[in-house]
Amino acid sequence: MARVVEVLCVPHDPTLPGSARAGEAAPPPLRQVIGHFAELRARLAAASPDVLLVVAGDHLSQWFLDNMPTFLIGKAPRVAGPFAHERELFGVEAYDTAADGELARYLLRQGLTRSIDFGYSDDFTVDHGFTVPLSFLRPEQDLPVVPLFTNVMAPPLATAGRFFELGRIVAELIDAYPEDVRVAVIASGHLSNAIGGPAMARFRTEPETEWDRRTWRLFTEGKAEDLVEDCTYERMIAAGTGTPGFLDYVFALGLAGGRNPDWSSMVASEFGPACGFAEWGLR
Amino acid sequence: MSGERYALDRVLWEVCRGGEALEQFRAAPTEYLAGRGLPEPLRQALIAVDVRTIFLAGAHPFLLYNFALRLEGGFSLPFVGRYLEQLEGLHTGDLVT
Repeated sequence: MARVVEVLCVPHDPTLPGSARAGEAAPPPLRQVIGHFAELRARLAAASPDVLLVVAGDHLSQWFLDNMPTFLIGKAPRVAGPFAHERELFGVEAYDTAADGELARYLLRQGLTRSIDFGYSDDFTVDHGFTVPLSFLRPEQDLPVVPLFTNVMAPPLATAGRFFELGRIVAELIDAYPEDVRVAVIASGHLSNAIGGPAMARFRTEPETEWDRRTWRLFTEGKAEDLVEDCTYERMIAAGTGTPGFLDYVFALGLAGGRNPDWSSMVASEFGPACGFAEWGLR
Repeated sequence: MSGERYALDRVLWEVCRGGEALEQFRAAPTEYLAGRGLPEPLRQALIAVDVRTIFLAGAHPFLLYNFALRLEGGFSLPFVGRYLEQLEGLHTGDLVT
């Protein structure tokens, strides 16, 4: 039987690979972020997963307003990206690995029996929301991936309660998967974030907002019911137009059964939007 | 309104992805924007990269930023400063198309 052996929450800011390349020249808080990725890369390797389920919001790169899925399973033969325009604008490196089509199709089929009406795609590119965490956490590009796309950009969005419930059900589905595989789950998201909005540079004067403090406390203390109630679309948007990207962390919390992470760290500084890291070591 | 907002987001999305759309918009913006159901003031705002007017029309901020960044030609702190100056005093409104 399959089982979840590791659950990680990590940021996907496309400028972070540049900070990694800068090495010692990067400001200390960004070096701390890169260090967290290195630590979680080691913990992921120690968990010896056979497959990675990666949950991330697409940034209107693959899915646009003409055809917007709320939750979608990718089941193409390869999981590759990011898009050319992301490489040009941000210098994000390519990532290309096999997909686990069997697990993807299983989750798709079984989700439908549990009132999770996933969309699906056999032809897609993953954007930096997927490739940045994968490049940091599994640069070997040697493990098959199941991508789970979530709409956290184009309202109306699924509620935080729905994201939590989705995580809980996906955990149950993986537990019931008849193959003997070890599954690691990577949730890609962020805390308050306002790319393109009036508050985009707020972190320079207010690295950690009241929303960040309250949300991260509820999240890291495993107060799932309070967190889900608190994470309304209106409150997240008020904290910054990209803040609903946190919903993928709520998915991870649901997948981990609502309990507090075994390890977590929020790095807030004037050098970029606050970065949240969390790990549940289930092996 | 929702159709107009979709048409607006569509232009931002096409241009920020670069390639032929970017070249066509740069070469002949009036022609590029023709027949899309956008009112003249909004067409002029797109041609002028008038970030404030486009934002107030309900454009998705992520697309607007990447549209402006693409037309700028690359990231720089002065660019971000000029971009945010145009949004001073504003709050994100409804984004639903």
